[in-house]
Amino acid sequence: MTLAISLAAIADDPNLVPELVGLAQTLELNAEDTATLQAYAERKQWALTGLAGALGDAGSEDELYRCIAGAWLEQRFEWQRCNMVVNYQAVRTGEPHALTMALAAACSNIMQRVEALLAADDRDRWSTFAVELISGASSDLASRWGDETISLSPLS
Amino acid sequence: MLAQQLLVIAEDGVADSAAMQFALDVGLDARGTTMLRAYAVARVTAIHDLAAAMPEAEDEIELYRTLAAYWLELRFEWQRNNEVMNYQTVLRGSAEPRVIAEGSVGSFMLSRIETLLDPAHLELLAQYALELLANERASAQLKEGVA
Repeated sequence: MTLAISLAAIADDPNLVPELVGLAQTLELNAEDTATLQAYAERKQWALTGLAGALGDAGSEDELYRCIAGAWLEQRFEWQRCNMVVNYQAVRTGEPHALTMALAAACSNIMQRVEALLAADDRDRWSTFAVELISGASSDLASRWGDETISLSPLS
Repeated sequence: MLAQQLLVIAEDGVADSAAMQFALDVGLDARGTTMLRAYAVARVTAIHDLAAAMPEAEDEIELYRTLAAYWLELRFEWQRNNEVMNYQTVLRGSAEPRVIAEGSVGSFMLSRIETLLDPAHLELLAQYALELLANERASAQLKEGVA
């Protein structure tokens, strides 16, 4: 199965953790934050390895694709959250937390690796949804929510 | 205010206690327990960071939306752990204890966040979590073998 092999290659990449932890030097993280980033990177690799190992025998490429898509969406929402926090921190204090910036960058790195396995059309659709969920840019479903607190975009 | 409610969740130490209990339940060793607790701390720190970054009344709508997105993030993570657990059980007869424990922590965190989201919104978010992946692999490009 092409997808399973490709996912395993991403999970087994010996450069994955060092590359993510290398962000600590770039962003001049202190020892405690570097340890947090290291733990984050190792957990992400563990998650990818688990997914690749367990789903290597998935019933179909479609089933495996759906699982990889879910994993990518998880990363996409995490990346967006980290960026949101960094932006607010920058506005409020003029100095965003270096660890949050490192986590956002690490997240982005993993996303880029995984998204090579997904169709561009699908990624675009999901990214649009993620952005509009936060921005409320689309009010098409506002009436379904029943108030002005939140509005989600249609998915297609 | 929502930010204050989030800080209560972030600072009450309940997630760490729950993680220790889940670790005990599945028989994680000391290293596994440490990693699970670090994961729970990371999830709680994310809540704290959101609340601390958006504490003003004028930030509340965006904070609520971001919390809704965080719920989806945790939901997809929980779903991944669940899928891995199910496949491992079928393939090996049992699932890796760390996966079970992390899934439990994720489920616990989801339930805590859900107390701050409107039930009608949660229902719609859960529906979106399904719909987002329902049309997967629709692209002809992928079917032609991009992967």
